[in-house]
This record gives sequence, structure tokens and C-alpha cells, in this order.
Amino acid sequence: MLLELNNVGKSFGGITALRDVTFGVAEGEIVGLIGPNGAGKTTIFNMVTGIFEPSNGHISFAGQPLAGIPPHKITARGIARTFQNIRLFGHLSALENVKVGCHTWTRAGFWASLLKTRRQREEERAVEQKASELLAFVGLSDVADLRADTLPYGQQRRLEIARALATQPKLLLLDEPAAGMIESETKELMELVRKIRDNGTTVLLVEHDMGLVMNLCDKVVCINFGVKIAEGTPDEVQNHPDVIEAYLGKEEEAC
Amino acid sequence: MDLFNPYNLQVITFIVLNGILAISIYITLATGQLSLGHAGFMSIGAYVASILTKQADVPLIFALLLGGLIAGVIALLIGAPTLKLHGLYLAIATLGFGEVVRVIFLNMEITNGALGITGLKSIGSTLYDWLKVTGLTGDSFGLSVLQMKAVLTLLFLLLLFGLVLFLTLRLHRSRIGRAFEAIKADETAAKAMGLPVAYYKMLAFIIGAVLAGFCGGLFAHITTTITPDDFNYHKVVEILSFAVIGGSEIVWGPLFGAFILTTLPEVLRVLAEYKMIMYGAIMVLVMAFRPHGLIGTDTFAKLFDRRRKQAARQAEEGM
Ligand SMILES: Nc1ncnc2c1ncn2[C@@H]1O[C@H](COP(=O)(O)OP(=O)(O)O)[C@@H](O)[C@H]1O
Ligand SMILES: [Mg+2]
Repeated sequence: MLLELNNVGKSFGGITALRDVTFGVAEGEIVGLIGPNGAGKTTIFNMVTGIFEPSNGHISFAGQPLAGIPPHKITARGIARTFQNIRLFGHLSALENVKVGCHTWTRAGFWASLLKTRRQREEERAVEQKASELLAFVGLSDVADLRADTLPYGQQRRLEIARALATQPKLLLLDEPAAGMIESETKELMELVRKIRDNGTTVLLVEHDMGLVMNLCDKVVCINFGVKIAEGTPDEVQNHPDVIEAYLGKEEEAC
Repeated sequence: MDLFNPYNLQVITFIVLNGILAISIYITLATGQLSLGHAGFMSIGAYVASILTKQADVPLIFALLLGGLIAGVIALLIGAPTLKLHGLYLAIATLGFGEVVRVIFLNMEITNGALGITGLKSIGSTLYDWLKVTGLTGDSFGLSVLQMKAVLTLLFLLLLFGLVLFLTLRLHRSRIGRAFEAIKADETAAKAMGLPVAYYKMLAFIIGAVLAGFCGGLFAHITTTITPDDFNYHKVVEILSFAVIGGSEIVWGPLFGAFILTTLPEVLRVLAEYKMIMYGAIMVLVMAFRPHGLIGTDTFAKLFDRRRKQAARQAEEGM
């Protein structure tokens, strides 16, 4: 397993947000994490990326425990993410946003940057090229020089993916990547996620769009009120009675 | 010629000096840190450099560099506990630091307490001595000794300012500058992109302190006299105002702020007793109409880059 959660729990103050969650993500898979709002999906992402420490249990990545490792080092180990409520560097251009993501595999420090050493210049060229390639990959070449916060919503979501890919992750966490997208954009997004997986990056995604989850994922994990209630193939999870009651049922009521 | 009046030359020299100070506050703000410690670091640089030149006969340039360096070391020490603080908490902590430094200098023997250090050899005199070695004097340029010293000081400051600005712009366009910008925009997202946020905040804090300390040494050797009160909270507010009035999004903002705020009192001098009223009114008006400062990223976009804006609009409409 590339990513393993073992009996992971998290409480905020007295409130238990997650309890005894155990599941794994195998290399090369696209895994869906579903559950109603407030179920604890984003909290799982925050613990995997080191923003929160789990209150119980442990998480390991590529066989190594992640306990006590700060977020930036977890990213350097190969876990990148996007955010449910888009968190781009708004005043930077799309290209600059992706360049920031290249930080983990570049080295130029303070003095090299001041002196503009040959290695620094070569590295900057490599960064420029990599960032342009990634923008092309997510279909944003045309808007490379525009401020990130001026981009329409769907483009911002794809830009966040490009920025995360710039860290050269082994595992990519996508938090509701299709939220706010129109149908054609969601279709493009599914193609994009498949391409990312085919290029060798494992994907764990949180999504409410059931069509997307059922179409795209090799495996689905469903949590409700912080507890895992089902895990299996999309079909198995979709037809699980607890899931229907907890999640799909509610969804229909809401409609 | 009026321009070569030593007084006017000194005003211009102070504009340039405040320009370097503006860069110092800009760099700390570039990582989103509101530090009010710049006057404190400035005083450390000023006292260190002054004691070195006056009591140990250390050559001016080394004394200035050491002043900056020691301010940087102090920044490293106080940064460790304080940089975990955010926003106003950091502002208060660094303001407190500045006060502590001031009171220490007020009570130390080597700094001569409230009377301060006087009779420093000015930058102008030092440079003029060097010039005389080459056989040139003020007469060679048709200037009096006083004028020549003022001109040399100004040229020296311009050279330093140019160098600092050049390096700042270089840094801005590098991996480090991108990291600063990313941290300013969103610390959590920056961490998620693999940036060691604490390290970069410390780096920016130290660069700001080194520059402020360096400016302190320069200030001391322009005025030739320093007292602890030169670096009290008035100075803190003055330095901060560069960024508030000028804007802090891009380096040109604080620079423009330093220019305006140093020039304005001179321009308003004709108003005599109404000077400070006008000064205050202008500040209030700027804040009312440009709350993020006079110069922002949009300023240059508007001036030079209409096409980019058009493209943005088209992209928006296209979706
Ligand atoms: N930083 C936090 N502090 C306190 N409570 C939190 C925090 N983050 C999440 N929670 C709580 O944890 C629960 C799960 O939230 P979240 O993981 O965001 O749900 P989801 O992403 O599945 O919609 C919610 O009840 C939420 O209020
Ligand atoms: Mg969520």
C-alpha cells in the first residue's frame, strides 16, 4: 500500500470528527473518498498532509510513518493536494503559481539567487519549462500570464492541480475537484485525472459528483459521521445499504 | 546653483536613505509579516557602527557592514520566539523589542545614555579624504568643501541604493522571491507546496534587519550624532508609513512612499504653521482613496499593460 491509515481518529476539543478509520490506497489506483458534508473527508486530507496530527492511530506513506513530519516535508516525500475551497496564490500569475510548486525539487538558495549562479539560471529555465508543460497538460497555456484570482472557477481548479503536480507527487489528493464545474468541465477533469494516473501518480479524491466517482475510481471508501461505513468497488459501495441510507438517500432528499 | 546647496543635497540624501529603509520594510512585508522592529534594528546598526568608527577606528565601510550584520544576528535571536506570532501580535512583540533596545542604549555607558554619540566622522568627510588622496578637491569641480562632501555622500548613498534595489529585484524573480510571495498569499497553501514557511519568514526578517541596521550606520554617519530617541516609535511609524502610504504589494510602493513622505515636509515648508495639518490631511486622503497604498500591482498593469487586462477580460467572458 502506498498510503495506509490505521485506526485513525481525530477530535477537535471535545468533538470527535473521525473515529477508527482504516483504509489503504494502493499504488496506481484512483480511490474515491465519499461521505456527506461534515463526515470528515477534508480532515483526513489535513492529517495525511500533516496540517493536523491524528489524535489516535497512525498514517504511513510508502512504508514510512508520517507522525511528527511537518507539512512541507510530507510534500517533499511525494504527497501533494488541492483544496476544497481553492487556495491559489491569488496575486501571482498562473505560471508563477505552478513555479512555486517546483520548490521541492529545486535547490537555489539565497546566495545563488542573489548572485544568479549558472546553476541557478539553469534551474530557473528548467522550472520555467516544467511549469509551462504542466499548464499545457491541464489546458491553461493561454492564461499563463493572468493573475490566478482573475481566472474563472473551473480554470482555478485545474490550476491547483497543475500546481500540485509541479511538486512531482507520488500521491495526489484532490478535495472536491469537480465542485462548481459544469458538466463539460467535469468530463474534461475526469480525462485529466485518468491521464495523471496513467503518468504514474496515484490519486485519492473526495467528490460529491457520484457519476464521476463511479466512473473514475478503482475503489471507493465511504465515511459518515467520522466512521468508515463501506469500502469496495464503486458498485459494491453504491449498493451498500448503509451508504444508500447515509449518503445517497440524503442526497436525494436534498434534491 | 540651488541644487548644490548642501541642505538640498542632504534632503535628497535622506530620500535615498529612506529608500533603502523602504526596501527593508518591504522585504519583511513580502512574507506577510508586520514587523515594527525596524527602528530597533536601525539603532543597533547605528550604535555598533558609530562605536566602531569612533572608538576603534574601524574603517567606515566595515563598520557599516558590521552594524548590519549584528542587527541580523539579533534578528535571528529574537526571531526564533517571535516569528510564530501573526499579524498584530507580531507587530506588538517587535514594537516591544524596539523599546527594549532603546531603553538599553539609554542606560549603557558605551552609548553615552540619553546624550548619545556625537562628533562622528561623516561619510562626506571620509569620502573627501579619499578623494584628496587622488589629488582632487572641491575646487576641481568648482564646489566648496561642504558642497563636495554633500555631493560625495549623495553619490555614495545612490550607489548603495542602486545595488540594494538591484539585488532585491533579483531576489524577487528567483525561487526565494516566489516563496516569499506564496507565503504572503497563503501560508497553508505554501506549506502544502513544500515550502519551509518558518525558514523563509526568518530569512525575510533577517534580511530586513540587516538592511535596517545598515541604514542605521549610514544615518549615524550622515547626521554625525545619534541619540536613542532618534529610533523611538516616531521612527517606527515613519518607516511603516512608507509601506502604508506607498503600498506594499511591490517594491516600488514603499519606495514611492519613502520619496513622498521625505519630500512632503520640505515642499510643505512654505505653509509654515499649517504644515503638519496639510501633511496629516494628505495622509488621510491617500488612505481614504487608496487604502492599499498609492502604488500596487494594478498601477503598472494600468500604465503599461492594457493588453494583458484585455486578455483577462476576454478569458472571463469566454467562460
Ligand atoms: N480545524 C477544525 N476545528 C474544529 N473542528 C473542525 C476543524 N476541521 C474540521 N472540523 C470538524 O470536523 C468535522 C469534519 O469536517 P470535514 O473534514 O471538513 O468534513 P468534510 O470534508 O467531510 O465535509 C466537521 O464537524 C467539522 O466541523
Ligand atoms: Mg470537505
